[in-house]
Amino acid sequence: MTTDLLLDVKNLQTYFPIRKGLLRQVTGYVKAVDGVSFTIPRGKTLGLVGESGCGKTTVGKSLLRLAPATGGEVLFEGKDILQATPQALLQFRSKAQIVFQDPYSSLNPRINIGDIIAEGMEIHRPELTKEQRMIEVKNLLDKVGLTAADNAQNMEAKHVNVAEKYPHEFSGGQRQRIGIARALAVKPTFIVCDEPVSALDLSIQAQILNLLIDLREQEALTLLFISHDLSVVRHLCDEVAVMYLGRIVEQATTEELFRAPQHPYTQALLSAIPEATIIRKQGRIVLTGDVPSPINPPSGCPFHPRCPVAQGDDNLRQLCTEEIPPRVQVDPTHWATCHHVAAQNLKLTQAI
Amino acid sequence: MNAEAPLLQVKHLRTYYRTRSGLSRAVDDISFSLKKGQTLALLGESGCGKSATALSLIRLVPQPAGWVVRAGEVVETETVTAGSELIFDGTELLDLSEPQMRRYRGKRISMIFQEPLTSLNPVYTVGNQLIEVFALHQNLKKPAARAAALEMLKKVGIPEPEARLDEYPHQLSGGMRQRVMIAIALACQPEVLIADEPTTALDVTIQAQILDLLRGLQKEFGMAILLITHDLGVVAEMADEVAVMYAGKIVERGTVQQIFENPLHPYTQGLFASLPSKQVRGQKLATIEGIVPASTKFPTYCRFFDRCTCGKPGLCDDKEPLLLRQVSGADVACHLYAEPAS
Repeated sequence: MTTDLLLDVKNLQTYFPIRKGLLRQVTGYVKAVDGVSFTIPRGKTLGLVGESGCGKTTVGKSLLRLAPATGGEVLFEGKDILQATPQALLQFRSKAQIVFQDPYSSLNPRINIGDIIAEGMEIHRPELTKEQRMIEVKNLLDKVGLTAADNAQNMEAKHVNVAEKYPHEFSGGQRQRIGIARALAVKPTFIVCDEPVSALDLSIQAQILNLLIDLREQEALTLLFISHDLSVVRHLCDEVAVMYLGRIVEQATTEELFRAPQHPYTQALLSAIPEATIIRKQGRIVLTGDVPSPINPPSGCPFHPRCPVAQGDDNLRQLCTEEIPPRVQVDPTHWATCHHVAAQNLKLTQAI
Repeated sequence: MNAEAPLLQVKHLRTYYRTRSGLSRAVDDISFSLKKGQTLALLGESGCGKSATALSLIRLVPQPAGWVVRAGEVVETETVTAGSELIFDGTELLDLSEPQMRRYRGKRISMIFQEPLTSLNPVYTVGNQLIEVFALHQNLKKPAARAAALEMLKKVGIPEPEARLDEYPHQLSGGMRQRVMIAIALACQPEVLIADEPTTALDVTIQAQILDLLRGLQKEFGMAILLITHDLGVVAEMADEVAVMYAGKIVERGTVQQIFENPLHPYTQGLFASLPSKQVRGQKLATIEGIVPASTKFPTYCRFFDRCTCGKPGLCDDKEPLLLRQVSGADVACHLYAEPAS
C-alpha cells in the first residue's frame, strides 16, 4: 500500500493513577485509554465516536501530549511523538492543533480575540513581525467567517474591531469560529476536533460544520473528529472508529459502518439515535444499565454485561465473560472486536 | 380533534425580565393547551423562551427580575390588554397565593429539569429528597413514605433501589440521577409533567432508556407531558403535537405529522434542512444564516425576517405576523401564509 499515513497510533494506553491515603500510594488505575490503535491517511477525516466516559477525549489529548500517555506509540509523519524531545515536540505542535468542545471555557476571558489568535504565531512563526501577525489575524478572521456578518462599509476598521473584542462579546457559534481560527493560526496539517459542535444549536451547528468542510479542503487538513453525535460523524468523516470503555470495538469506512454495523454495541448505538422522522424504526435495541467504570472494567469483553447478544446466547455468555474478544477483519476496511462476529465470520468461511 | 377539554390552557403568556440591557421579552404572547395523556413538544433553540415558559407554568420565574404579565399592566408605557392566563383544571394558577400554589406544584403539576446533578440537593440522600415529597403532599409517616419511595424507585427502573435510597446524588450516574428526578416528579402522580430537556445531558443509549421510561409511565398514569427540547429526533419519537418557538413566539404549531411531513414556516423548514442526517454525505449543509436576536432587542416586525431567505421587504419588515390556521390544519405565524389558501 502506498497510502501516506499522517498518523499511526499503535496500542496507545493512558492510565491515570488513583492515589489514596496519607502517603498518596497508587491503589489502582483508571484505564481511560486501553490499547487503542488506528491510522489516519493524510487528508482524511477519522471520526471517533462513543458515549461519555469511553475515553475518546483522552485519546485526542494523548495524541497531542496534552494528557500523559503511559504506553504505546504515536507516529506522526513517522516520528514517535511520545518519545519526542522538547524541540521536536515544539515543532510537532505547530503541525497538530486542537479545537475544544466548549467554546465558553476554552477561550481566556481576559485576552482579546486578536491576541488569542496571534499567541500561537508568536511561538511557532517567529519570522512574522507584529504587523504581519495582525494582518494574518485579519485573514484568519475572514477565513472563519467572523467579519462577513458585519456589513460595515469600512471593513478595515471592522477587522480591528473584532480583533479587539473579548470572548464574552461573542455567541457560542462565533466563539467556536474563534477557536478554529486559533487552531489554524500556526498552519497545522492535523487538527483534533473534540466535539466542536455539541454545545451549539442546530442551525449554528450546520454553519460550523460547513466551515470545517470548507477549511478541510482549502487547507488540506487531516482531522480526528471526536463526537458522540453519529449523524454529524456520518456527514463529515471518511472512516469511523467506535470506542467503548477505553478500546476501539469497531472500525470501518463510514458507508460500511452505517450500512452493516457488526459489533452489538455499534448496532445498539445506531438504533438508539432518535431520528427526525415520524416513520417508526423497527426493533430498536435499548441497552440496559450504564457504561461500567474504567477503574474496574468487566472481565473478558468489556461490553458483555450490557450486550444483548452475549446475554441471550448460552454458548457465548461464558466465552464473552472470560476471554478478551479477538479482532475480526470483516472485510479489508472493516473490523470489530467481538466473539459473536468472530463466530459468524467462521461460519461464513466454512460455508464457502 | 379531541373534544375533551384541555387540562391546562395557556393563553397570551408573557414572561418578561428586567435586565441591565433593558426589558427582555423572553416569552411574548404565546398560547397553547395540554390534554390528558398527550405530549406537546415545545421545540426551539437556546434563548427562544422554552425554559422561561416552563418556569412560568409552575410559577418559578426568578423574582423580582422576572414576572408574568397580567392584563391591565403597563409595560413600557403600553397597556397590556390580553394578559397571561394559566388555567389548570378550571383554576387560574396566576391568582393563587404562594402557599396555595405549593399544593399544586410537585403534586398536580411537576417538572423534570435538564441537568439532574444541579437540580438535586447534593447534601441530602436520594431517599431523603424522595421521601420529602410523600411526607409533604400525601402526609405519609416516615416508614410509609420510605416504602412509597422505594416503590417509586423500582418503577423508574433503578437497580438495587434499597441501597440507592441511602446514597447521595454524586454517587449515581447521569442516567440514574435523571431517573431519580423522574421518580421525584412523578411521586404524586401529577396530571401535568413538564420535562425541560430531560435527556439533553445524557448519552444516546441512556436517552433511549429514559424516553422509553417516560412513555411507559405516561401510559400508566395518563399524565399530560409538556416536553421542552431542541432535538427534532426526540420530538418525532415522543410528541403528539408540536409548537415551534422562535424568539419568544410560537411560529408554528400542529400535530407531529403536520410539522414533520409538511413544515410551513421558513424557520421550521430551515431547522429540518440543517439536520446532517438529511443531506448527502460531505455536502455542505443548508444553514440558517445569522443568529437569534437578543431578547432585549426583538424587532417590531417578523422576528425571523433578518435571517429569513424568503422574507418580503415591505411586508415582513413592517409588522409582526399573527399565528393563523392553515388548510393543512397547522397554525403558522408568517406573512407568506397570511392569506389562508382556499
